[in-house]
Amino acid sequence: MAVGMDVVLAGCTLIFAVYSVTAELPRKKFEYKLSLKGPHLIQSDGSIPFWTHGGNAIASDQSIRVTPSLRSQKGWVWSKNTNPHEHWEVEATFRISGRGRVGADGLAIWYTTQQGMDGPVFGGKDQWNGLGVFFDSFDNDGQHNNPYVMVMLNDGTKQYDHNSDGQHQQLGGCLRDFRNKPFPVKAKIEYYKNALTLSIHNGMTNNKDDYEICVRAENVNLPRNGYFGVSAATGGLAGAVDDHDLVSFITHSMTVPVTGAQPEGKVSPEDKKKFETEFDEYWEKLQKAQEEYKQQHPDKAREMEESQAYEGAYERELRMIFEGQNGIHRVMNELHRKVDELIGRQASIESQLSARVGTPQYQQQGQPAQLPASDGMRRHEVDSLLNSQRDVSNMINDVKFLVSDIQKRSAQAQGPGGGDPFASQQLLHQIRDNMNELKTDLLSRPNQGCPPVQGGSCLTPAYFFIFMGAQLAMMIGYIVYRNSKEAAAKKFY
Amino acid sequence: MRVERVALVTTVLVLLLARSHGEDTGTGNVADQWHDPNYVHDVDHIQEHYEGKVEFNTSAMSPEELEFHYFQQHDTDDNFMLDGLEILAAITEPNRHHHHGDKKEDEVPLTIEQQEKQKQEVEENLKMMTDIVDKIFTDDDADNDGYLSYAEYLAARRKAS
Repeated sequence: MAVGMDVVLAGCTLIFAVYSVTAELPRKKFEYKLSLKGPHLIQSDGSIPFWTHGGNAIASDQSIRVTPSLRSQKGWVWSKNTNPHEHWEVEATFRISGRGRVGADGLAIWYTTQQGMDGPVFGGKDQWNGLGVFFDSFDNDGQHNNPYVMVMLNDGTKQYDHNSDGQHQQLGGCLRDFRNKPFPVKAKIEYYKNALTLSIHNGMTNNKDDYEICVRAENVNLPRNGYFGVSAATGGLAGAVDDHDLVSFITHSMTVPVTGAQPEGKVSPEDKKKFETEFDEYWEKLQKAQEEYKQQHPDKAREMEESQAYEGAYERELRMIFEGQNGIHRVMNELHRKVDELIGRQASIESQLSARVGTPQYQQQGQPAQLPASDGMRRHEVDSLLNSQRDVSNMINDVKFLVSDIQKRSAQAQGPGGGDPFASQQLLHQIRDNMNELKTDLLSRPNQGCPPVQGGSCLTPAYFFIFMGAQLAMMIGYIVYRNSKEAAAKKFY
Repeated sequence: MRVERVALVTTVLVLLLARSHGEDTGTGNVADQWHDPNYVHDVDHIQEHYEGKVEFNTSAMSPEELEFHYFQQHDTDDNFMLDGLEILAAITEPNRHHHHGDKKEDEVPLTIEQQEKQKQEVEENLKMMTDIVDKIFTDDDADNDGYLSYAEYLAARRKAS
């Protein structure tokens, strides 16, 4: 029983521990006065609520083109409100796209004490006080380390070093390609308990959670009540200019959770459940209605799909790139295999060659044809070939001599005696001799007497005659008996 | 609390009337609109949103269903929650449509004075709307996360009705 209680207690402690760990996560609150997003980004007069934009920036309902892809453009968007929160998280979603292989100049996300409009640092003011996160597309220092993402802190005194791309001034950074991505790139900056974390979503997927940490730094002190801003600039090169489009800027304030304090909900659980089932029901109804509409109006459905297909152009491009890369990979593998094969064949040819130089054979005559055309004849090979050919001709001479010898001998053997008659005569003689031998044998046979008879199967004359006599006697006896019988029968009649 | 609300409602009403160039829109005050169950019964408006996507017989819908559509249409990022910007867009929507209509009618570019005037109007309007959004959140955002979930939204609307 006591053990059972212990287990329950331990379980409770564990649950509590897990709960307190999850409770450690900061509570986030959406700050709409420090955020902007589509699809209703601007108001009727073209201004963005709670934000001000300037320079070459053009705001539309869906996004803000911070700079168009023209030479030497500068644009910016700054929050009108300051950020009073101690802990915060911002998520900027943007697209940087250009036709050139390289782009320029880049985009910056700011958190500073002043709205740094119109300056030399990616459209922002230099000697800022606060945080700057730069997406530097252009390689100013020729180190081939761009596009680069970097974090730079400034207390209002330092001047950004353009020539070295701020390499020695940065708090941290990472090499990331953020240009021309199928989906918008996202940067999430989290400032919580004086720890700064920059995570980048590379825009290769549509998944909201595909963030990778780029920089994390502890003990960072940022000023309170700063402004958020996004600025961008293009360079002076006509071939390397990018469109910098800000799609959204979302700010969340974060608060350290007070352990034990449950957020009191005004919505009772049963109400909540009821509302949610209601929602699901209507949601399904809406989906169904949309499907039906598509079936009933195929032309409009096609239009919708076309607009989707247009959005899918990036995806298609990506797929084509992947396919191309796969093709290249396959060809590379094939080439690799062929090179291996060639090396193997060369090795075998070399070993064959060295073996043939040691023991020349008749086949050597065909050798020059087998040599790879690309491999030029070397001196020692030519020598060895000549030697072996000389050997071969010698051997052929030997063979010729032998053949002529055999021919001569056969001619000599065939020449006298006329062939067949001679042989048959000899055979006749032999047969006569044999016959004579047989005759003498036969003549000498009677002298040798009767051949020994095996067993008792051989009948001697004495027995023969005895048997004859017995038989005769039996026959006579029978005839007598018959005669007497006949006589008796006659007597009867 | 109640006094505050009445004060706010009055201010909003006055501002709205001042803004509407003397036309009587007949919509009343926006904060009350939010809490008025009849507000979303503007079926034409809901139908307009679904133009070219779905065919609905909105007149045959229950008030609950209409409420769902109102919520769903303004949840533009499809996270099943309304945030401050989405609510702002929702309550300024009639206003936005009104101005868009204006632009089409007279294509004469606005003079600097008119522009200034328009800017000022928009600024004032935004300030007022912001107050409303703030109030909606302080009243209805039960878990104080800056988002109005469907449950929170419905709870607020049912409470009002």
